[in-house]
Amino acid sequence: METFKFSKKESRLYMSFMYVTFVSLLVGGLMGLLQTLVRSGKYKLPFNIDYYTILTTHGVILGLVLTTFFIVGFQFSLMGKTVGISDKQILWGWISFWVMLVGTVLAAWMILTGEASVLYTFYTPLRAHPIFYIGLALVIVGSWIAAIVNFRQLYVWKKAHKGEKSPLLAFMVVINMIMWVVASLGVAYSVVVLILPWSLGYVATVNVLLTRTLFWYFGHPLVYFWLLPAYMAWYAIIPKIIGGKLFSDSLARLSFILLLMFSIPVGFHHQLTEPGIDPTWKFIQVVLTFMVVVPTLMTAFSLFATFEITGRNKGHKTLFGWFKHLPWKDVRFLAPFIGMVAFIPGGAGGIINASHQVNSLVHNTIWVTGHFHLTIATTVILTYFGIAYWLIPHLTGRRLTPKLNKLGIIQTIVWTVGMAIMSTSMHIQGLLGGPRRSSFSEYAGGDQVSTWISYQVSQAVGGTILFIGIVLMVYIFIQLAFFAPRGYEDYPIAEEDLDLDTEKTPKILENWYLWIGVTIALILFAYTIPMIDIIKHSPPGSIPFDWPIGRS
Amino acid sequence: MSKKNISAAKQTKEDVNLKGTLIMVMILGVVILVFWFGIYGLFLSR
Repeated sequence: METFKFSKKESRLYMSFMYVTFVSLLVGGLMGLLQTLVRSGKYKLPFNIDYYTILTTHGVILGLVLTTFFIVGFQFSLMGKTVGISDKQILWGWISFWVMLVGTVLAAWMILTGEASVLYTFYTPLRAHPIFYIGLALVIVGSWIAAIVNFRQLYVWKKAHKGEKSPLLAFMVVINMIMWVVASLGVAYSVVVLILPWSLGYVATVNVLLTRTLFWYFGHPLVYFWLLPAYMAWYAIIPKIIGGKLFSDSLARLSFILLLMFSIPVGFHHQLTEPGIDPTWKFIQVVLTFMVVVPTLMTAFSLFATFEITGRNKGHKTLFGWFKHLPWKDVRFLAPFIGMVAFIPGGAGGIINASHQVNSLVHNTIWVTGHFHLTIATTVILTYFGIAYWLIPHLTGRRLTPKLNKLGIIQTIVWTVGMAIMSTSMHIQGLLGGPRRSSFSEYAGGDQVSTWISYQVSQAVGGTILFIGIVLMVYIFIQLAFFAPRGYEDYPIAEEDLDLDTEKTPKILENWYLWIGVTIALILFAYTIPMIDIIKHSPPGSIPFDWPIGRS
Repeated sequence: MSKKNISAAKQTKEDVNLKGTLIMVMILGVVILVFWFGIYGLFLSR
């Protein structure tokens, strides 16, 4: 058995990101619970705490902080494992960690003191305290440092291994970080050049449509930035856990390249009701959005094939015998598997959201909140938990004991039940016209409103169950980090199946100039003309609004 | 499944059997279409 271990220096760096991840889970999760309780209409926040403060905390801490810290830490460990990391790169890894952490603390300080109740989308003309924007900018800058370190790691490996294809997981990490850097340039420009001077009072007005468009230029690839690490685990780690091998190296690489190309020039599908954007360009970006379906279905096919081939190789010959014999009692498999299942309604809902006409049925309703709680808060987060069950003990030199494994299975079931209740009632309430974002209100009565309330109570029930799941997960994390018995936990990476995957991976799949070139060309095609329109024809800019939410 | 049916044999590229995968991806496609047309029906009815 392989007994690979990271050096202490490496483990400490990767674990630091994990500590922030799980503190964020607890804080952000508590805010989520409070939100659902308030929206049930049966509970009022104490100490004059504003609903929009906790809503912003929930979104920023879970959507931006937890995800970015987990992803950067996990990806650093993948790079360290597959291509290695030098002392200098570890130092830069630490710099990235501290820059991100300082940014997080600054943003959190502003949100918690009510100076930045602008939700995680920080739409103008709502204005937050300038320190909030500086904090967000620092989180992004810190992640860019991590990206540059990752690029350098692969570059150094390639120089030492001339003519060899890069390890699959290193390739995937670099794709994700290229996408992240290209996408976050837009939001960084918006925050630093447009919003910050306006929030400081140096300029009087801001172009609202431009800042919203730049946010969604970033906001959609952001969801793929969350999802791709889950795909990394599905393609290259889950096969090892179930006792199988990688289905196809080329298919996995091609699907990541397609995700890089088609996840950025698609932001308009979040702005389908936005006035000021030509419908032709909305249509074009909707078409590009639908291209993302291709790599997603390639992934689904590859996963089913991995499961079936592994089962059949173990001797389960009936049509679905392979399915019954998957390792259901191994939480490292079960949690990500349920994540995969949640992606079926999650993905189907995504196709509905992105369809121009049908979007009008669900736009700005709580259906959308139900949708992203299936995708990010189930598919992605359950896969992250699945990773944590082996990554944390591997880093701390401990073991996932049978007892902790069992607790993990209970946690996964609790999460699944809680989310099924909460997300389903959000979807239904959304179809009945229930709005997202807003605090509890009876909107001065009305027949339609009365149909919403029972669903909001269901959401509070689901939210409460989910919070129990969060407490369980944090307990498991603390055990794995500090108290589980000393030992060795495998870092599972699947090998290629040379009997089945006999074709050599085409060299063109690693032609970075080509794929980055196509990505940039697609972005320029999808955004240049509408951006010129937006800048030339926008109405006068808006002065800042600190009220009714913003800076209270 | 009885133990009799379980005999490990490594599949190769020539004899790989992916019938289960084919059925699963077809079911997946149907689920997506049912969801979409369900909501589309609601859109038309309003």
